[in-house]
Amino acid sequence: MSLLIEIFKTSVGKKFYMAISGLLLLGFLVFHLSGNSTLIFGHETFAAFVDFLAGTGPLIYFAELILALIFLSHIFLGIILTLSNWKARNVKYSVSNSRGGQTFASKTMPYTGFILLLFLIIHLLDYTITKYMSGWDGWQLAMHVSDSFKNFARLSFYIFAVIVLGVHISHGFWSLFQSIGVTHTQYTKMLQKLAKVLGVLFAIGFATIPFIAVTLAK
Amino acid sequence: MSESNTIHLTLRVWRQPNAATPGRFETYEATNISTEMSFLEMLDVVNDQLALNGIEPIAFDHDCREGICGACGCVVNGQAHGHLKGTTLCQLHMRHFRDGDTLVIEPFRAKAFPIIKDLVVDRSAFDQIIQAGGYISVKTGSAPEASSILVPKKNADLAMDAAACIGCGACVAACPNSSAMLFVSAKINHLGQLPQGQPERYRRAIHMIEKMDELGFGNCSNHLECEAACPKEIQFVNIGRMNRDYIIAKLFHNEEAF
Ligand code: HEM
Ligand code: FES
Repeated sequence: MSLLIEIFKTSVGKKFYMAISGLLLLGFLVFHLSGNSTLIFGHETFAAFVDFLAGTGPLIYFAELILALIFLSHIFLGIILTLSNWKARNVKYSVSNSRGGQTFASKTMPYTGFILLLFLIIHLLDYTITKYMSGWDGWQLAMHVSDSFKNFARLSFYIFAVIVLGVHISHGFWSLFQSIGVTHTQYTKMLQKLAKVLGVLFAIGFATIPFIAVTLAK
Repeated sequence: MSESNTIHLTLRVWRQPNAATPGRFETYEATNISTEMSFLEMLDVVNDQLALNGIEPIAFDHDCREGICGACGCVVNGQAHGHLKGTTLCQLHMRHFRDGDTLVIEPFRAKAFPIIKDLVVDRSAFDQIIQAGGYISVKTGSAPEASSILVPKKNADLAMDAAACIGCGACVAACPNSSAMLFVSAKINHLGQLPQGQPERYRRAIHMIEKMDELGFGNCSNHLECEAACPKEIQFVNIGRMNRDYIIAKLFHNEEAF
């Protein structure tokens, strides 16, 4: 335990945790997207899946707790790292020109992260918390999901957020390997391309969910 | 022989008498600049003119003027060592600028590199990082037989590539986070690739990284601006290898570190 705290104290260690938490979040997204995709087979399948998860009782609470901890550490570290990076350049350049190292995605990691945090809060309030508070079963949640996306503002914000997620992943996915020391003159270039592909895939994957939901509701 | 031309430039130079006094930009004209001059020679010419006019010459760092010592460097139009790839400021020639250009010349900016005067910054933080572990401990005395320890070609090449780092600080200047990771990783890999560097390999990674953090450099967000700005074209994979050394050191060799 004290070793883990010692690692946390250094820059490289913080980025190590950032990378591991990012990787775990990506794992969660795969699971989340697969779960949501059950909507393709109709409200019943989706509801059955939701009820199945709820039926695991303590298991799902435990999983949610772990997930919350992963999110919180990623967010906490993201804030700490970003603030210390800003502090390290205490006087700004009056002229600053990239030589092509940075990308739009790498430059905006703190901002895309912040938007994802806002989205996360709204998203939890919209579905997870509403479900718990109202004591809904899977079917009621499925109806609520379909209903909710008829609201244009919510739909647009959702689409915007998943695009932002795609941008975050298009840098994050390769960056995490570099941060944990998995690096190579050639393979890292492949990871950089793969990160962009994954970013697009995640964005498209999540963006299709509301359209399926709205179509089902008709 | 290439044709010699002269150009005329407008310079906006950061002037700051010392760390405690706030600085500002001053505008100077650089007239009749031969395109065969280096950037530093251009500054010499401007300084001569300033001195004649009773103005304090612009302070800037330099030593070898042949791209090998790492003393020179400032930020020209927002790019460390100017716009030419793989080039130190002293090796940047005026033929790479156009007549009538305006150049904004600033010092390297980082909290860990406080300004001494004008374009001169204090890079002794780099020396402190080296003192923390950027060396190998050997018995001094008569030189050992050169080939008594064989080095695989691949490692020799990687070590040599990393050893090309001249410690100029352009990586810190170019990094949006003022991170020193490219410098530190070059030093760690230069020694870590060689058999002679093995006994202290993990201790070195831990101590140099801790020192770097303590001195107020930023973290690495993998923007790769450092690699793009490095006059010696040190590769960012060195940073990944350093991260690997650090994590292995902490998880498996932590006791040996002290
Ligand atoms: C499910 C959502 C998310 C995923 C999959 C994700 C994934 C990642 C990954 C893989 C990285 C790269 C780590 C590295 O460079 O080693 C990263 C970096 C980052 N993330 Fe996230 N992240 C998510 C949500 C968030 C949120 C909500 C924040 C809000 C604070 C955030 C802030 C950041 C920041 C600031 C960085 C850059 C850190 C740095 O390099 O200095 N992320 N993320
Ligand atoms: S003066 Fe030595 S590298 Fe430029």
